[in-house]
Amino acid sequence: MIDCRSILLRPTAAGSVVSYLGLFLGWLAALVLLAGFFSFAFFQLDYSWNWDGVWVYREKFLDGWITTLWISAVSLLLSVGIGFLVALGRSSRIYFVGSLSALYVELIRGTPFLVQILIFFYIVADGYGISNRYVVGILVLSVFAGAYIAEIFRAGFESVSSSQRESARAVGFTQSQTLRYVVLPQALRQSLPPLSGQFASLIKDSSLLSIIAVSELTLNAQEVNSFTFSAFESFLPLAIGYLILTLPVSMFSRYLEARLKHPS
Amino acid sequence: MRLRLQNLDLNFGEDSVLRDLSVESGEPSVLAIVGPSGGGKSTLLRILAGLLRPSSGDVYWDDVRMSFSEKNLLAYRRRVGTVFQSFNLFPHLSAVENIALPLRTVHRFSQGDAMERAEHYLDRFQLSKHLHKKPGELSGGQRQRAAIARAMAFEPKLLFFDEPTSSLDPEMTYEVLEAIREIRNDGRDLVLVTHEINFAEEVADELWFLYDGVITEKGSPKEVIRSAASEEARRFFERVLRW
Repeated sequence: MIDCRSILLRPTAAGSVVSYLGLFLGWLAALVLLAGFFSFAFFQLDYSWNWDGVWVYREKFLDGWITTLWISAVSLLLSVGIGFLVALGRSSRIYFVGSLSALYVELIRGTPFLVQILIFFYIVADGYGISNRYVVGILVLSVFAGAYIAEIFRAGFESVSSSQRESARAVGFTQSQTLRYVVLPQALRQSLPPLSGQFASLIKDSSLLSIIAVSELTLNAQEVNSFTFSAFESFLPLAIGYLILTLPVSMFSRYLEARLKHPS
Repeated sequence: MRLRLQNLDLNFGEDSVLRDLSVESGEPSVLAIVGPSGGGKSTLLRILAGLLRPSSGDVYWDDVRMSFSEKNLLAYRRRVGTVFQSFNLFPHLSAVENIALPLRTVHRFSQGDAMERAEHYLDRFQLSKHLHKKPGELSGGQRQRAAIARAMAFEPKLLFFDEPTSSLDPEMTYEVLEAIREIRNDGRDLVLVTHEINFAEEVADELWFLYDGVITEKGSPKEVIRSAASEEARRFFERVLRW
């Protein structure tokens, strides 16, 4: 006979085995509930769905998705570089470097990404003669995400205690050896989970580049909508396209969190 | 060793921690510094270990003046070993890597020599079963012994210990005190800040009593503990020895 409690409830005692049946039924119930909630809304809507139109343009979705993928990947690398340098800059002894870093972080985090894209594209990029909208898109996305990543790295640096730095000095490390062997490994460990959350955000934020006609997933979905004279059909593949990118990132983050936990 | 401090001052902003400190040691192999908390013991030890620059004044080791330029301090720190109260080890490295990494990067040992040396010293402090454990998986006493092994592994002539037992329970304290006895048997010089008066009496050749930024008593441990001249010192030893 099956014990109902063990299927319904997670065990409280540490080390006891999780019921896989319970876990499976839990996920199933959650999915059914969500499906029911949206099904009701969809059936209330008096709208004739036209999925054939979307299917005809499937390659256009794929093209957009691939553009989103590589724009995100390049921006991700660039933003990590920017974030790292700015995080170091914020703790610099040179006043100017500290101020510049702080100004950058506060301005970027305090203004909407949409505004940044428009100013960069129509004023800054134009003024400096950068005409390729993909280059501008990657730069503005990297600069935007870099500010958040800088704060993540800064929190990571600050999590390394002063007694660790003193220990490093005592064993005879130079400043750069201290950074390399003691501060960075510990700071990165702290930063990885929030960093992967930021990566998921970056992927979704790339959708805003559609307003400067970067032909990524969102822009292509909007175009399909207008080609097929439909209102909603493209949004479903759009959401799925982003989930395919963001879910692995968030699963990887969960995995890292579990792996890097070291008792201190 | 022969240690002489001359007009040593240290101020943190408005607070003066060490006040015009002048004192000269005999020729001890182990020098213990004791005194009430907040008296400046750890601060003095950090100056002696090359981790902190005094506001003014001089330190002489065997009549050679200690240079406090950052370049010379780095070289100095590479010649001496230091163990702190706690949080010594690097938590992301295993016990053996904690020791081998500075040997490789600071003292230019080859990979193989560094590992061999690290394992040898961990073995000496009964840690050979725990080579590859991270500090978080070691007990407090084991951690402190690994820290002592790290400070000794490059065989410095001079070591500094800052209250190495104060965050440990009595059984672990015993383990660490045994380890310190080992150092003494090795013939290395040691400057030690401690709360363990009985241990200080047993292991030290000379004892300084630091009170409110000034050394008010010095001499052989027995002398200082049993027949202190000043009222503060008498009260301090009476209190710590009662328990």
